[in-house]
Amino acid sequence: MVGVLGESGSGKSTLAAALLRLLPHGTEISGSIFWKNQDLLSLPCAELGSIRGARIALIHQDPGLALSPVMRVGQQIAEVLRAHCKLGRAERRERVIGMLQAVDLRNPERVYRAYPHELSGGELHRVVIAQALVCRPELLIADECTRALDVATQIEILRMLREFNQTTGMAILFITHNPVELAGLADRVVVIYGGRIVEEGALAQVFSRPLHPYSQGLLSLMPRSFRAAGPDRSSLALIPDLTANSGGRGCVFEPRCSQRSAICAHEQPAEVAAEPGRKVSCFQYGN
Amino acid sequence: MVTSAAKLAPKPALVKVRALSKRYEQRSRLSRKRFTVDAIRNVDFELAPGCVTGLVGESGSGKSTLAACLSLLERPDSGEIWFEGKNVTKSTAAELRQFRPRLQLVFQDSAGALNFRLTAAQIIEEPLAIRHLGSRHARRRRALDLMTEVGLPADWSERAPLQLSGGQRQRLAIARALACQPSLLILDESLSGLDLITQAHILKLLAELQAAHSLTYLLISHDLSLVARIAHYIAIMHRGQVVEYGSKEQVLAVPSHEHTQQLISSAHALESGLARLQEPLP
Repeated sequence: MVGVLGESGSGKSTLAAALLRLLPHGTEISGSIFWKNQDLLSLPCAELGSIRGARIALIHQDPGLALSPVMRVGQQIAEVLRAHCKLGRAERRERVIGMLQAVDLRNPERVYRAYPHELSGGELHRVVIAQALVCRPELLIADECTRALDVATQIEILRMLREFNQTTGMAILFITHNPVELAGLADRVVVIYGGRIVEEGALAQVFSRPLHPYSQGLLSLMPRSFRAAGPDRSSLALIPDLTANSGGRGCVFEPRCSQRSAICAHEQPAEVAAEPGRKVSCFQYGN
Repeated sequence: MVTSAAKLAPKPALVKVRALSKRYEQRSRLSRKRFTVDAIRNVDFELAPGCVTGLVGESGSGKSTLAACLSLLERPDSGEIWFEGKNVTKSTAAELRQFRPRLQLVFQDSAGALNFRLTAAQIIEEPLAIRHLGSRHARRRRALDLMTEVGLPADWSERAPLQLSGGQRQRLAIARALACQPSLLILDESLSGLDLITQAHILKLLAELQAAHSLTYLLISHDLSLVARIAHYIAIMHRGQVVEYGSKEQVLAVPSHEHTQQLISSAHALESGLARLQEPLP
């Protein structure tokens, strides 16, 4: 399970959409995306269609937009099965009801017949998870899938994803702006800023000793324990509220970095292996 | 046990709410049967002047209905609302025009709360223009001052809301709320959905504005750990009722209601990561 961590506008959702070639027509994409030794970027559309939704599934951050308001929820999930699996109508229905049960929805028969507006926010999130998992994908891309949920529902959904990961072996790319969510979930973490990966490593390593100044700033905002008399978030040394250096020259984080040196404004730092299994893009760690 | 705010706050309360209730009547879309929802029931609490009171509860617990009733956007079915020593519950339209500028709301969905056809400066000027306050030139000057105060460059005055990021739009919404010099700001999930860095910047801004303008905040959120960062008092809502109210220290250290204990355990479970996530929910 890999977590992608970064603030709004850092490129997390663009990364998720690019992985499945869902970016708007005409977007320039370079590089390669390997799925089991196949480059998804050079795959014909028909072949990509058989992977997208069936073997790699995506959960969008806003279930209200991801679901059609004029179709019953059960039909929308069954549609995925109809596109990818050869099943009869009764079998499809049975599989969808089973999936709604697996995502802990009480009274799955009622949910099957309901329209999206008849369900609560937490129920809608579970429905889009059921829709993503119904074809038993090998990789799930979860893009801010617990955004704006209350803490109890958030925990239930995180726990459910972890259980699916452990019981089915399905890999998860979990995209979030909140490091707290990753603390209970991910094995590895990728920190992204200004469209670039600035740090990558095992979660325990990155969270206990972040190397990149951006990771340090972001993780310092993580609430430790609100019962302890810790610093309040408003008094922390904040990363200045500026936009990324996206002009192409220099480090993307340079305008906001408290540890910058002269070279940072002129050259882009390369990714270096700071420790075994850990990469960082910062001149402080050799370049 | 609900702690009396009077014991905690040395000054008279800015807002007093007594036995407030609001019921909505709805009709099932399928069976067309009518049913009622008690959005808030018999709510009592007080807001201490110059303090931050956090109102915490799950989705559907009645937090936003309470905010709507406090600002009289919704008329309560029963109970009383006292604001700056006056009973405002049954205010007439003329009285509301006097009352509303003193209390302003900042909503969660800044994109939906701001008129996307207006520029940033026009959005801040609008409440002043509606009340015919100042000349056009003075209103523009005030709008630019407020933009600077909330950390938006004054030369962005002609930008539309959709040209701003979520955090910048929230700053603009705060600037508009401050235009009428309110004494109470109700922040209804205003920080939800923002990333941690933006959240921290807005919290810092709110603290600075409070010090500069002696503002009172009612911070509504489902995130107890966020509220605990800046609140002086915490009220916990559950199924339309305020089930616990007291100083932050008291509510967090000695939670007396079962629901408060659950909220604290949930927040800790999330903060302490996987080990706790694998345990059953309280």
